[in-house]
Amino acid sequence: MPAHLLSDVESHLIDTNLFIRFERHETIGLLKRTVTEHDIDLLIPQRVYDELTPESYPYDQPPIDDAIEAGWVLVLDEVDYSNPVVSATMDRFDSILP
Amino acid sequence: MAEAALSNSHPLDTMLAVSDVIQNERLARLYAWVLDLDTPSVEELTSRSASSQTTVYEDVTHLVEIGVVERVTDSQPHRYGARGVDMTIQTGGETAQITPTLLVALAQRDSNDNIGLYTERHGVSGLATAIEYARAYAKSEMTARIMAREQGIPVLEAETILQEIQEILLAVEDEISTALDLEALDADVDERIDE
Repeated sequence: MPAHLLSDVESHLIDTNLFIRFERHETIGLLKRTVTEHDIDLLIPQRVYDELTPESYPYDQPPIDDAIEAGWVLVLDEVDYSNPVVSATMDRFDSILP
Repeated sequence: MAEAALSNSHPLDTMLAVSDVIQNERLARLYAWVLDLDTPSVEELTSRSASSQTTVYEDVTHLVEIGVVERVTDSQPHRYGARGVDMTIQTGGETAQITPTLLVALAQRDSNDNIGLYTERHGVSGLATAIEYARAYAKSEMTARIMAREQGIPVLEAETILQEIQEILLAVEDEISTALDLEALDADVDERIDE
């Protein structure tokens, strides 16, 4: 993957769809190589981790646990709602969403 | 009620014949190849198929009769092109669309594990429903989470099938594009914040 597509940020927050897309095209290795070569961590919220690892799932699951064990994917702590910035932002969303 | 796709036959005959294609993976696969190749001949189709040339010829003739494939040459060796299947089925208050995407997806039941398993679990109707969700998903108007909630399936399953079908849609239907109008989206959000 060309380097100019990646900024100098060290970590990227990703959603469920990214892993699924790479897994479907059997290119998880490419994803892993790219992020590890550029010293990047992929961050996922607990919710995304849960979505990627449903119980009693009949299909293959993307190898998220392997990635976490290898250290290039990190599961974030749950957001702390007692933090005023967090609660103010979520209140704002509630007022915008229909 | 089923409206005839593009043929002169009685709508009921068309309905029975199209249901043939839906239930017969060999026919669905043949249709998908005709769609994919540039006006193939029976010989070219046979080279892709495990069937004999006679069977392929009979199947192609069948597809021509129901109007999803047409012969595009006047002389031998004949070549065939796919016609847009656009069939609406209405029963009571519910409607369903039969589109090329459905046939191409059905043709991949064997070769694509994700599509195969999804169809096994949810049936052809479930796949057709997923295609409607995928149309909206391709326009960034639907998410896997919404589909998962509405259909009562895991997010992982919804996201997987949406991605599979989206890729078929992009290949099969020209009008679908993934262009996201970020400016319009930003303007929309700003408008709501101001409200």
